[in-house]
Amino acid sequence: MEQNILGELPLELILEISDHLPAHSVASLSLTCQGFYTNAVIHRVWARGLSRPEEDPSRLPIKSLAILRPDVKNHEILLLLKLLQKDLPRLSLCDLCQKLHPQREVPVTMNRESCPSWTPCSRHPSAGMWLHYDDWDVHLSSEHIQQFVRNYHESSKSHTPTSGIHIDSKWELHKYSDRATWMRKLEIKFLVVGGRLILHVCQRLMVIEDDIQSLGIHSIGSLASRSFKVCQCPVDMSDAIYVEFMKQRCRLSQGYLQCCHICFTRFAFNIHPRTMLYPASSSESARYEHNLELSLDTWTMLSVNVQSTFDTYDEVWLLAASHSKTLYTPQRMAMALQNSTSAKEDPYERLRFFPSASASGLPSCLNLLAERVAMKQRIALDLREDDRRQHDAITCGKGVLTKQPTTWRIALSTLRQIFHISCFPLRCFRNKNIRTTFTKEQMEWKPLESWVYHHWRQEPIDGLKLQ
Amino acid sequence: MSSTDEQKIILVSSDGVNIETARIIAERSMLIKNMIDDLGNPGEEPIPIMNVSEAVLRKVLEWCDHHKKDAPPEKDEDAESRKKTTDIEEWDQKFMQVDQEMLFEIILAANYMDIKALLDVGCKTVANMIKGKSPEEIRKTFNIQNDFTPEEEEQIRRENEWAEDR
Repeated sequence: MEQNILGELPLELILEISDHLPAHSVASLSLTCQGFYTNAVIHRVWARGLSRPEEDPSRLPIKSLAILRPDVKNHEILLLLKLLQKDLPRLSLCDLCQKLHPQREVPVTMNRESCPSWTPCSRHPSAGMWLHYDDWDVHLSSEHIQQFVRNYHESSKSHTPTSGIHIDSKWELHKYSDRATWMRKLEIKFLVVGGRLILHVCQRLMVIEDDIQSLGIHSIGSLASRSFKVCQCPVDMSDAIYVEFMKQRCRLSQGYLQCCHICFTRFAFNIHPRTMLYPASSSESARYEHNLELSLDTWTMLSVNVQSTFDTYDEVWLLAASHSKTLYTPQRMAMALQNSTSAKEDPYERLRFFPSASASGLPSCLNLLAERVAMKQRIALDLREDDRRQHDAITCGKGVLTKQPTTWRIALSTLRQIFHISCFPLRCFRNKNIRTTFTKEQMEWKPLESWVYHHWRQEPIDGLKLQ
Repeated sequence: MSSTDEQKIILVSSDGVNIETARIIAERSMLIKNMIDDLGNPGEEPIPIMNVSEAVLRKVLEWCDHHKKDAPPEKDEDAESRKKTTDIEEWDQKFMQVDQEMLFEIILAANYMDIKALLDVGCKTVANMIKGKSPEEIRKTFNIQNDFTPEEEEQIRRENEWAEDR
């Protein structure tokens, strides 16, 4: 076995090497053995580096954090803790308070109200760091994603499959005011595509043939609207703006794969008559021939580089997460995004197609984001109130109401324009107006990595206009 | 002038091997340069390089040969900016692709022979091997034995306020 040559170098050469290292790396080196750690000269080098506040924020190593957290004047401790965390699987790093905490399991299924109690540390409620799927009571926090990324690193080292989060609600059977029944299903998976971490959410709603007529298309749309959620971007409550918003984010000319112009979530919604619900006998398949299924697939990028650690100040996460309540102010987030490099590393260089046109000099999409974030904060209470009313209305059978917090209702109303649909039922235009290239296998919800990757790379960027 | 350029001198390694080289190459080393200046009559007497073995000396001279046309190092100018970067030019990177023992020998030789630029390249190479690594990864890279107990490690985290119990 080779000996420790580094330890035999004279101190002056160790210091010479340290001169080329940032303080956190010197600290990491000194933590390797007693000899280095107890050396007072080396100690002074890193201890000073970790404690000295940087007066010029532009010299701080983590650009987005420098913008988001002007109170943090030295990034070296955080960078050191990120290194230490690699060796300590039972501790997890909170980048809000910049300390290591004991690792824990955060539940996925819970009420929105209980989310703030799952803060990574007592000092900074992480309420803004979530992906909410409220109607399913599924809430993913930054800790879930951090956990997944760490599992991914572990398993890629040991060449075992990643034990990731895979949420499957199974088919839930619901009653609609004693008149009819409908079913829905949620599946959430993390995909790693080309080094990027992508959240794939599949939301499905199914109505059996007999119930399609009795429910009516408006009610089906309303149910889907309640259940389905494209992304975490706040949407306006007023119908007119909402329709406009939906039109803007739909790529009308490009068929099925669409894009949210705020967070760049790709989504595809489909309406298909299903041949069968479960694998069944031939007689049963005949019976279910004309079931109606609505499905919404969404792909949201959570990290451009799954090989690095996951941080809440990552620009891609800022775009993806819900901002209903957060430590980072909307203005700072918009600035961080404007200066972002990683968010621009999208296959389409996606920020480019929003020209900088606004008075404040920010690209208009970022302004819009800041605006929407502010708006979401204002309307958060109304929304909850509205949700409750909505729930009551549906359960007591009053049917469709306006003011939905999801995109689905408008999706249905713009559906007519998109596919030139003048009337329902939908089964008539199977394979005719819906330009779908899903194979049967894809419709059965097999892993879609290659499919997504293909479309993410191939999809042209024109056709989506903000103004 | 050309005579200085062409002039040959003989170095003797620690294991007693004579190596002939051009004076201009050898004078990248401030140690040799000063010795020649002190001794006078270069080329007549072999110059002993006491702490450097033949293999390492040849490697060091290879580096000096490649860099013989470089401008002489500026006096402490831009010392800060020079130190904080770990960029290494391509030829030097290739040159430094040696086993760790040789790498550290080169650093020690560069230090002894007072070749600032080579010392810098060597230290940068080691710095790059440390950068971005956790203590455990550094231990693996350099075969350092972890002589901390888990309790001591926890104690260190606590003392420095890096970890919290909840």
